[in-house]
Amino acid sequence: MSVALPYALRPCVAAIAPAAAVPDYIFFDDRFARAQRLAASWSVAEKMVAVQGDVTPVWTDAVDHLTRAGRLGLRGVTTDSFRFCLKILLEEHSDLDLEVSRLDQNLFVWAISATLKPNTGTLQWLSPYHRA
Amino acid sequence: MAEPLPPGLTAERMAEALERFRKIVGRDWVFAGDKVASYHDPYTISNDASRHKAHAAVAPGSADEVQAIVKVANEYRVPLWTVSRGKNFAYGGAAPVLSGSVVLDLSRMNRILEVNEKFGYALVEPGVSYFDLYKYIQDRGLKLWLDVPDPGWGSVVGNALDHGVGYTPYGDHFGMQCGMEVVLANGEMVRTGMGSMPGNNTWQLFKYGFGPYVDGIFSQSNFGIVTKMGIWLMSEPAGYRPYLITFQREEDIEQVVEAIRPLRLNNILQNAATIRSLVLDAALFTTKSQYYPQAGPIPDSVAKQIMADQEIGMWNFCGALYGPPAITDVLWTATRDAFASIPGVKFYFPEDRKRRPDILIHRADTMKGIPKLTEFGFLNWNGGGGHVGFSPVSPITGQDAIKQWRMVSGRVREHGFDYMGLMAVGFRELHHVTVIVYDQSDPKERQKLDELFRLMVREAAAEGYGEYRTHINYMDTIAGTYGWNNGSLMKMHETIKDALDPNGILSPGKSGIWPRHLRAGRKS
Repeated sequence: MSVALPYALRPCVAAIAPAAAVPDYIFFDDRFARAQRLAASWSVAEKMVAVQGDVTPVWTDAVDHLTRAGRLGLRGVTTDSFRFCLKILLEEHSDLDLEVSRLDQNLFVWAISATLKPNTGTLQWLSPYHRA
Repeated sequence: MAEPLPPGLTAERMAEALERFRKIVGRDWVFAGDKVASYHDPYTISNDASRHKAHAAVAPGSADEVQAIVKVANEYRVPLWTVSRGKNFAYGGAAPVLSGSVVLDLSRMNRILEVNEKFGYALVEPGVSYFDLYKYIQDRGLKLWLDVPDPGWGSVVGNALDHGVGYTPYGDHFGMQCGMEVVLANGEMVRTGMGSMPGNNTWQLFKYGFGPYVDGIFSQSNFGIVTKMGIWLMSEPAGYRPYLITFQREEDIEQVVEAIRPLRLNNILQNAATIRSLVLDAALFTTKSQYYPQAGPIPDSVAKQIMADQEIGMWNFCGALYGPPAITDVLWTATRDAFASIPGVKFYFPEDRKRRPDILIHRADTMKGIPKLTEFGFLNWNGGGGHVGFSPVSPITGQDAIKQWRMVSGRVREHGFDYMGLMAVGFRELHHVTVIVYDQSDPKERQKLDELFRLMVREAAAEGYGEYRTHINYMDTIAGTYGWNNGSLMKMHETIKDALDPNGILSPGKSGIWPRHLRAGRKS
């Protein structure tokens, strides 16, 4: 299935594991100890990126470019706005497989597999400065 | 579940129309079935799942394709719901008012046609986002600043057309537009202002041209499809000095706004500054449960704890000074003096703020036109993610400000929500924008929100306050409050609608304007 809106909240954290079994990056909200612990348990420390709710720096500094390369696997334990904004940004260029589960009042666990849309390869979808 | 059909159109005829659209734009750019989901309102309010659902979407790559699409839409009577980028999520995103509409998604039309540093303007297509235009300017080292709304992913054209606001001296976005290209419902293309004169070179320099000024009828309307627009850009100033002024009591809003009016009218306050409430600012970087893990609005004791922790006030006035230091020093003295008599007032520049993240450090970016998505942080306050904006306009008087604040905050808190509001200072008015954050996964909460919203609209209208913009769910409701002289303004809108779009194919229901064949029974 591509594009997952509106998503269905799922009760079980374990259920999100398969979609991004080998994520390229893991995002965790370091304001929350529970997010730190869970991300650490995923045991891929070199891929972990600490965030504080705002997707802007992550997107403009890295993910915007990474997603143009093809397939990208992302996983996170963050607030909902981080996940939502990342999804909206990604789906401009990519078909998404998204799984999301609510961990507690503040945190959501999610996995996104982003595959560059075939017709994006024409660069028609991209803005002029990308074509320059 | 099959996607809904618009009134009067069979599945077979719609399928034929979509096939015709595919021939115009290519098969990859007509979206149906699962692909339509991304055009749904992610923060739907109604518990009726059939409302505001698109049937399909078509994404043209050029104005020529837009012209061809509207001709087919006329032939089949397919309602087209036009979006520039569809990112206006507090007001419905890309979702249509009328279920069964085909979303006309202009996001592929994303060419930056010209950026003119000498005269300070850009000419862009509707798919150009603030992120796009900002990067274009930065990559070329142009000495120009954007004016951005809070979400940087929105359309420059779409935001101006929807009367969006930003926070530099160019904060009135529609006021800064200059020259449009518009595809009418019959497929004819027009250029407004000086653009209608062949060979003219002031299309983006002089708004009015000759004869009636018509640009306004294409804003918040369904009279045409804007395919190009000029937008004035600010020259990079010789200096920039953002500041934060905090106030300790909610009731201070009366004195604060009284101080602001003369500053604004005399251009001492240069930008579209904002007075932001405690919880709105706190919610950008923290969540409610970190302070108060219970239902209902936070008590005063918790508010005071947040104020102390984050060095913010019950109201936080974020403004900025633009120009050489010799000028901004004088402006700052006048600004500081205007607020100095308010008990408990505190003044900050960025170098005074040590916490990270911090509200002034964040707003300092926004007030110099750097596009961001930071403001989405407030959605996490309750964890549930849904939000809607209630946006009445007020004169810049303390009496009106405190009256509106009491009305809105009282109702919001009665319904169990925290008050998260801001007052954006326009040239002569305040936009009082209250964001109501709710748990979108809870149907009861959505119902409660809907009742609250409608109550606030009624109460505001009874006091003479009207909303300047609204969610697709409330367009008829808000339009109904602009009913002076037996609804003469809406009658005029409908006359224009019938003349320009007799088949009613363009965005039925936008701003409460319905085509003739769909009007019956819809009056609020």
